[in-house]
Amino acid sequence: MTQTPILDVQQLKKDFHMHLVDGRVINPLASLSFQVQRGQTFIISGKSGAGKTSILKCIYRTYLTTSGAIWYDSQQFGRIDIASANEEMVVRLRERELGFCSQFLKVLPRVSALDVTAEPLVRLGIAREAAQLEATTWLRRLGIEERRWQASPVTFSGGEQQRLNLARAFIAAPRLLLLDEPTASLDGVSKGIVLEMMVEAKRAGVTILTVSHDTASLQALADATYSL
Amino acid sequence: MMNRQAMHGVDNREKREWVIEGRDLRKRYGHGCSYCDTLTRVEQGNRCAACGSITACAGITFALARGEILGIVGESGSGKSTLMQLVNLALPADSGELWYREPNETGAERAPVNLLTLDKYARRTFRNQRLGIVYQRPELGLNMNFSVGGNVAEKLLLADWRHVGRIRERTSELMRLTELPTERIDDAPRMFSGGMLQRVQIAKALSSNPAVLLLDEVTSGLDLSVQARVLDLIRHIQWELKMTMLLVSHDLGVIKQLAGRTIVMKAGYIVEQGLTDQILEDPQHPYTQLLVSSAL
Repeated sequence: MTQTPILDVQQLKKDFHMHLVDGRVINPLASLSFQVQRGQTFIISGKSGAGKTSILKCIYRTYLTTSGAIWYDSQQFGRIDIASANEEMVVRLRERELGFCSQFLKVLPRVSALDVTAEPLVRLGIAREAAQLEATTWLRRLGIEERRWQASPVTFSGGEQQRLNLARAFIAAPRLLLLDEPTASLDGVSKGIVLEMMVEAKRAGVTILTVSHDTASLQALADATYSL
Repeated sequence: MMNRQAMHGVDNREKREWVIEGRDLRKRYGHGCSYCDTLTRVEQGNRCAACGSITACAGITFALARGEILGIVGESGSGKSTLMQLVNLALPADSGELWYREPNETGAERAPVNLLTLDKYARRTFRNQRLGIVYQRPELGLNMNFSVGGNVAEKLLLADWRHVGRIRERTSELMRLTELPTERIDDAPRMFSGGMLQRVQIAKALSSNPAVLLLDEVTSGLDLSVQARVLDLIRHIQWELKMTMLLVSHDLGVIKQLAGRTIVMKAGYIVEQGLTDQILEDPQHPYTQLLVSSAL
């Protein structure tokens, strides 16, 4: 018996209408279809500008899909088309089921790295102290020095911000983890730690969809790949 | 293409746990004329060329879900503050409906009430007990010569609190929540700095444990370092108290940090609404694209 895929992307098309640039239309994704099975680590590769991040943003609903469907087998609502679901449902999916790690960290200034990392748990209603305690585990693991935990991540280097982003994505233990170039700006040691975290998450049953141009280091983890 | 949620969101309205819902709210400043009624599109603007009337809200329909921060963004004169004042029941709407629904103690839903049909006494009670508002200018929300304790007590007395000891206790509790030094309970607001005044306003607004907190350009007059602290405080209030908030701002940075969903207004119309990150990263309407591309 075949399992229902956790994610079933059908004929995904995304156009950007640039009203300020003579109404020009940019079309990064024309008709994309793929399926991700539950518990898989799925890797999408392609050149810069091929539309890899756009796929993740459509799934996370940061981008509105122009046409096509993104069927997600959710715990809360059953099979749901994220492309056309109402906003309230998407908010709940983001809170409880979807994790997104972007390449950039945009945070409120003057908030400490510890609080920034703990934030996804606080949002879930976990007490601040308990959330901070959990955050320390992730920060330590990702090699952020303890003396910098009280500093704002705005002062961090690119690689450190990237690691903080990963900590924020992993900490709330989502069901489907969307990772945008998770190893791009990391050194060898940090890269190893991130790969280890991905293996652990996979063992815990998390489905991981990652886009990357650095397929060499991720290849060992991949259950399935898709190249743009 | 318009946001498909903007078009279909209403269909799912009943499934949402909304607190406040506006339907086709209209507000015009001026006596109006027959030409005013022909202005039905955002491109036509909101000022009537014949009689000079301004249509500040031209049929606004929105829903504020429980526990969310809904942002309203737009340029000066787009009607966002008028909409806020309509929800605050400080201005009468010309037409439309404004529904309010709250669960009672047993968790069962009460029947929604159309706030615009309440008489002036019921309106005042509703405002005092179920709404809290924080203004850009503290002197609008606070009596600058009363003490902090007096300001909070003013709101609590109107919300039918009578026990002086309990009012003082509640004030101290709110001062701790908003990170104000409790020993300054008897100081008058004129002795506080700008950032602290916003905290005093927030403490006052939260005192009656309102169902909805209205925030009108709360950080606009503050310097950047203070702004970040006030925004962080508002976020924590939302996370910890699960407070429902309506946030008006012209600053996309503020909206980005606080609001889960955002409404974009122009000339009295909603031109687009959606999840805040979608509005900022994939704006659909030309005006929203202009707004986003102009942000620093």
